[in-house]
Amino acid sequence: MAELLIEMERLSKVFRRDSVEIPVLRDINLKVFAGDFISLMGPSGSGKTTLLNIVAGIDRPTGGELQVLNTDLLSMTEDQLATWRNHHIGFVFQHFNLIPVLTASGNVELPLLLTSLGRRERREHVGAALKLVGLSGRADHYPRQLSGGEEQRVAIARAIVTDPTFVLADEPTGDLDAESAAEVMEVLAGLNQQFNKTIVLVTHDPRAAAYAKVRHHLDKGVLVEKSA
Amino acid sequence: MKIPLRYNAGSLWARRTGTIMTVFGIGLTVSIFITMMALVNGLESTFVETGHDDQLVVIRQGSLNEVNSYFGRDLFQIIRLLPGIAKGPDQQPLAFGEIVVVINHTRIGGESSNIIVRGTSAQALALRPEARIVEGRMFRTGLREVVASRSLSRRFENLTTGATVHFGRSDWNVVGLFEAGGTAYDSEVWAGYDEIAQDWDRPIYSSILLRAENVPAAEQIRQRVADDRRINLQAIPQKKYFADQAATAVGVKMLGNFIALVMGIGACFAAMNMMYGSVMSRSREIATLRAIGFRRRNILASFLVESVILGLLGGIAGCFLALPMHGISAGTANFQTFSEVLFNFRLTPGIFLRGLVFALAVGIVGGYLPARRAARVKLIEGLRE
Amino acid sequence: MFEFLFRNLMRNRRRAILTVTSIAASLFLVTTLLTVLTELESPPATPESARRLVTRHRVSLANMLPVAYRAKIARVEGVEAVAGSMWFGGIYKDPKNFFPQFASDTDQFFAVNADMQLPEAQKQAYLADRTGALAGNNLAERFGWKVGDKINLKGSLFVFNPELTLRAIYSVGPDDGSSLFFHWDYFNEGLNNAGFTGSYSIRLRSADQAAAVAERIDDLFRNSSAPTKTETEKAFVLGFISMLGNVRLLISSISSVVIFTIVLVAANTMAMSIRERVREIGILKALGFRKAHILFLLIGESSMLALSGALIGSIGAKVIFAREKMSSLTAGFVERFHVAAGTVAWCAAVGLLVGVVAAGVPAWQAARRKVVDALRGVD
Repeated sequence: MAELLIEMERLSKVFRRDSVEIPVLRDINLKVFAGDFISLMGPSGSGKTTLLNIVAGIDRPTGGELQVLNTDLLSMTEDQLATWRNHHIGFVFQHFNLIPVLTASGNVELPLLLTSLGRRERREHVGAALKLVGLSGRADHYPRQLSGGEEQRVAIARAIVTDPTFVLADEPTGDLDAESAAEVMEVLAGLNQQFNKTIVLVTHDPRAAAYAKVRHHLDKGVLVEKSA
Repeated sequence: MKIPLRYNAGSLWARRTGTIMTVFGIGLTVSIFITMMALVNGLESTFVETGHDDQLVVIRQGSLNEVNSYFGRDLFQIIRLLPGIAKGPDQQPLAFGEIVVVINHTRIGGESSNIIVRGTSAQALALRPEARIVEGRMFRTGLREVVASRSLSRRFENLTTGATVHFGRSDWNVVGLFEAGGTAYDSEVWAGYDEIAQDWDRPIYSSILLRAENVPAAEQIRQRVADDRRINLQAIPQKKYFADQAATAVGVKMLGNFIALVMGIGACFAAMNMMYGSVMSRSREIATLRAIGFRRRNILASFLVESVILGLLGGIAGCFLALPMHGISAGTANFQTFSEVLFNFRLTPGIFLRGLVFALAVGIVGGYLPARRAARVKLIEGLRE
Repeated sequence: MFEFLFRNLMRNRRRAILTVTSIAASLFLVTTLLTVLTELESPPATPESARRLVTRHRVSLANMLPVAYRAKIARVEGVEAVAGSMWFGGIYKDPKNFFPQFASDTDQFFAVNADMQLPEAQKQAYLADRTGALAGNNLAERFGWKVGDKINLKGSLFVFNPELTLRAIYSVGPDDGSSLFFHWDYFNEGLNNAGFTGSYSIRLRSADQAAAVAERIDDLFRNSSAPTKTETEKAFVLGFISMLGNVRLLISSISSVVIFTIVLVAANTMAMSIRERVREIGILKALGFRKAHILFLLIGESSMLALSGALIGSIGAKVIFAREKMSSLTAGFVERFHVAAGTVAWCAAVGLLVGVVAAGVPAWQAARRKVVDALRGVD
């Protein structure tokens, strides 16, 4: 029986801006088990990113219950959340968000700098991560020297280098053409199949969502499970 | 330092134009700071370095300096026989009477200024070991011959070896140049005592320079002279005599501090401006770092370090920019003797260090607020940009 | 157009404020330095001072003149009044309380110093009291003196400690009046009738006689043991200043460096600002703004920033120095410190020029950039 990693019950999030209330998430019930590869599809504005942010501890829900790895995120301080994130979450963003002034390996190494690993160990982990995404040869290149697909793969390497409990990907193919998108999704699928990495993917691209094992739809803040 | 320095270095390099301009701006500020300190240091050391702890300058009671002092030659006999005065190789006390006058002479470049002329003797030079003839020879007694300090010869007309210069009532031959190690004596012309006394028709002494056997003996002699009401003289430790004349430096110091303060403030604002611009355009990076798990204080530290690097680079640039000032000579007024005192801009490692610290402070003060702003970048909004 | 310009500046308020402050600080400094220079190089030239000569020992002010000279000078053609003056240089309570002190002849003193204003009663009181003192109004204000106060000086140049009573307070023009005078007779007595003085102040019958009378006086004493040098009061003061050395060079160098630094600061700001608005400028051009318009906008922004900074800094200096009593601030070193309107104007012009130069290169690039590149956000 796979371990239950994330459990959401009647989760909701309401944004308040200038005394106008905007409900973004309504009554979300979701369970994520170890080894899952889940996609959340939906048009923009449907709250997908917000959901991801809440799971990562970057945002807080306004209602409902959330258990992530049996930890009560809501009672943690920012500093505690930061450390927790470093250990447990690997983030992949739509715009890659690589630091332009660092090389590929410099970028991948960043999460490791928060651990107590020594330089040689770090270098090993970075090498392994880059190998996993097939970019060992580009370790010393700067982001501006990489293609979109390659950049995103470096971002994935950065997301997994600490061997996090799960990977959260927010529109990872949003900025990519079809070919690079496929490349990137292959890498993510591979991570899930070969290494049993739990992945929560948020996207509006049906082709990307197709790579997941379980597909959910999010529309106006309500979750609908589609197919497995 | 969790966030690697490479990040800061890379970011500074990525915005090179801005970085270079800010570094240069800070550098110029630091170089002015250093130059002013070098000026004050040069002025002060000219006075402060003159003299020895075991030597005394005897002048008239009530006079502030040699120029205003005069007393009868008979008093010399009393002074030289005081106990505690060191003896020379010839077993004679090391005490020498001198006459000091001020002449008006033209500078190269037209304006005229006052110079001190000291009527002394070759033996008195024994008490001024810092001085040595660097060109020509020493003056001979019985002739109207002078030696001038090399610094003076560069600034005033007609004081080169072989030249003839007119002052007092005669023409004098410059037979040599001397260097006195940057002390106040480097602003003087020396001639024989008898010749000066004759020319000015003043058979008196302005001062007596003497060497005591040791420092305690010097103090005893000083006390003795002060207590002797008949002779109406005062003995001042040679070092103190010159140090007390450094009044001009005070005004320059004030000006220098004022300039440094105002420019420092300007530089802080410039650094702050640069760093704010940098922070604002990197909010996405900052949010990413925080998403990865770096904390606010890591971000704060990183940006503060970046600003400090800017400051230090500026400090180093400033040191190099100020370097050529070292040794440049200038002259200003000794308001006590109303004569010209020459000095050199004097850079020391200590001054460079102070310049670097100044630059460091600019980096820290200027970088603090922007660094705080960087730490405050809201995760969600930063990612959203 | 101007409002758009202003709006653009206020868009990033913090940057605008920092730039303006930085420039203001630097131009505050430049204004101060330039004022130091102008004060040093132009001592006050009132009509009264134009009628005064100063006679001193030819070789050095440190050398004394015999008191017998006074009678001889008084008989020279063109001389209306003469008073001897000796710089006393004593200490009042603390060496830091520096101010000029003079032991002066009294009988023709007020004739020579006709520009001194004081109540007649005080004048007579001062003249009548051998140990009386006459103080300038600024000096009195600085130490809180009132007529009747005892002022004791400790001699440092001379072995004599005068004990004076303040009998009169004078004022001369807007902010002179920072010296203390006492009777030369009292001084001379304290020195066992040494019979010398430092200089003579002479009042001419008419100002255009200055050169001729000066010559006559110097001729009188040319071959004596104390030859004199006589010059107008203005020249005398300037002579002091020139002794300080090449102050002009020092100040111009520092000012130039400071101004250059300002250019860097402003240029950096403009470059950052323009870089962030590449897209926007492209939109403007797409809307029909021409190169010249863009240039005007950007250079105008930059100039407004720099000019504001310049005005704040230099007018700020003027206001601050008008209010502070410079003499107490600088322990008596500096007496008068008026920032001239001309200096402010010069700084404003410099600010404007800096603004233009600083925007120069990036503005030119921005104006020239092709619309399509700009809209894409390519740098």
